[in-house]
Amino acid sequence: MNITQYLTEEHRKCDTYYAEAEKAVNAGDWEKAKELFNTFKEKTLLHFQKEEDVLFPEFERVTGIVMGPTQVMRMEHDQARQLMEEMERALEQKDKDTFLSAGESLMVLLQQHNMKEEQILYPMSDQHLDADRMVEAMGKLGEV
Amino acid sequence: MTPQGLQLLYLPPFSIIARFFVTAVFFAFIGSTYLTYQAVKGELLLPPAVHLFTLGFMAMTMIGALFQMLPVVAGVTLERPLELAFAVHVSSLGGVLLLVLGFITGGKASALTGLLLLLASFGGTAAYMLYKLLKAENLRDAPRGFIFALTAFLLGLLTGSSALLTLAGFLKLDYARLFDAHVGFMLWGWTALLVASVSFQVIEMFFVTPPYPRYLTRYLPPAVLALTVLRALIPFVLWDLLLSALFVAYAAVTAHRLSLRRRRVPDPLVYLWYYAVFFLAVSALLYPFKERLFAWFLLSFGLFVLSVISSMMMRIVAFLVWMHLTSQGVPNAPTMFKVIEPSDAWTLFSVHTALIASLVLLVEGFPLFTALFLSAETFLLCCFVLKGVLTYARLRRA
Repeated sequence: MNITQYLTEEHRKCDTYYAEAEKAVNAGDWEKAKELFNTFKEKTLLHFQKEEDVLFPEFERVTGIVMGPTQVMRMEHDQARQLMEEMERALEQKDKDTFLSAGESLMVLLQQHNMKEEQILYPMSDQHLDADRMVEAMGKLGEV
Repeated sequence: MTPQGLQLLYLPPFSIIARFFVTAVFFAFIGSTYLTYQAVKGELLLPPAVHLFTLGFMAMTMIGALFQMLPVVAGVTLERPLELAFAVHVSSLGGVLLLVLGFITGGKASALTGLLLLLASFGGTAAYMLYKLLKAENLRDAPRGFIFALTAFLLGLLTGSSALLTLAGFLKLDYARLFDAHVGFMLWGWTALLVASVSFQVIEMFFVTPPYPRYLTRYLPPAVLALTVLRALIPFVLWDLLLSALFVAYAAVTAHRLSLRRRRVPDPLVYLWYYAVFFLAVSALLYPFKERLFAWFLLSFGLFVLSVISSMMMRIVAFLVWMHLTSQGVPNAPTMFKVIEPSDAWTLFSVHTALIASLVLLVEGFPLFTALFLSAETFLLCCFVLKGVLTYARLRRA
């Protein structure tokens, strides 16, 4: 499995986790929603960690591009983290409207972020890095 | 050295998409007001109304969206995008107005000046975008589809220009054949194919659906372009039947994918997608009979485009307002449903549904109701897009 396949699969899994949490919020099942949202958040943050701790540093080392696309990706990860915090607060307050509004923004943010990674960054990483070693190192951090 | 594509992951400035979208929705409103005026007078002059929608609304939206999508979806950069967008926007705005004025008054000078401006603006940009896409490496199926759609757009401009020059007496060509080829390139090759190519990327991602079958995403774009070229060169009913079958199949697959979406929250923008694919299928089925049912074919196709653009535009504007404000460090930037509220989307969806219901009255010979509902919908679309843009402007200054 190459880097593109490995990380793209994780994107799709995270989308599914979010869809389940959103469904529970919409149904007003707050306990289940909290549980499902925690799974989504935990898995998404793990995915970010794999990129930020393993993929991006290696990409920057090999290509020499430090202040480029990986910085943009990190910035978008931070925006996603802020939205997840807002959603977590909304869950605590059982505020469906705020949760769904932040959730929609998060989904679109993540989808355009994923498009850029899947279209540009991952294929270039496969081209320039040792894919097997990268996938193995990311796998050691856990399974999304 | 920065490898190709990578320096392009940054968000294009909001002003680019805002100027195209605001102009597009105003053209839609002007077009529907013109249709209402014609309904009151009991007339139907198709060229001005059709071009207010196809060039002013559809092409303006789609070119604006490509400025946004090319860096994100294809990793393709456009040099000096702000200056380019300004030049294309101003000249295409003038071009559409002059062309439509020429159609209404029969003024050759106005129509031909408009045509020249459109060739320079839309034609020049489409050729530039096509050149950039052809140079890009490892394109996925969605941006690869843009290549075929932009090629069809250029061929549509070429055949449309030739038809107009023939009508004005500057060329001696077969007008009916050019007109037929122009419709095929612009509606199927450009509009429907671009929507399909974008959907290959966004339906799966935004609604969390299973991916489209690979044979469809890979072979639909070249097949559609090939058929539009074939029918232009060798008119034959088989090409139209095949085009029809391809888009009915695409519509069915899209509706099926949407029905399997994992995101189950009631969303009027998803329902607009259902309307879009339904009317795409209807227009595709009517297409082989266009000699007798041309107005109905155009109406169905128009409802397909209005449905899909309304759905995408409401989502894109709300997202970009939040995204740009957040990126600029504006504290507590409103998230999407606080920019364009769900009640706004439901209102738009309700009026759209009423517009569709009014088709019954249209069949009975009462076009005014349909025109009024269309005007109401495009007015609402103007309000919601402006609401997003003004929210951005107000909070950015604050």
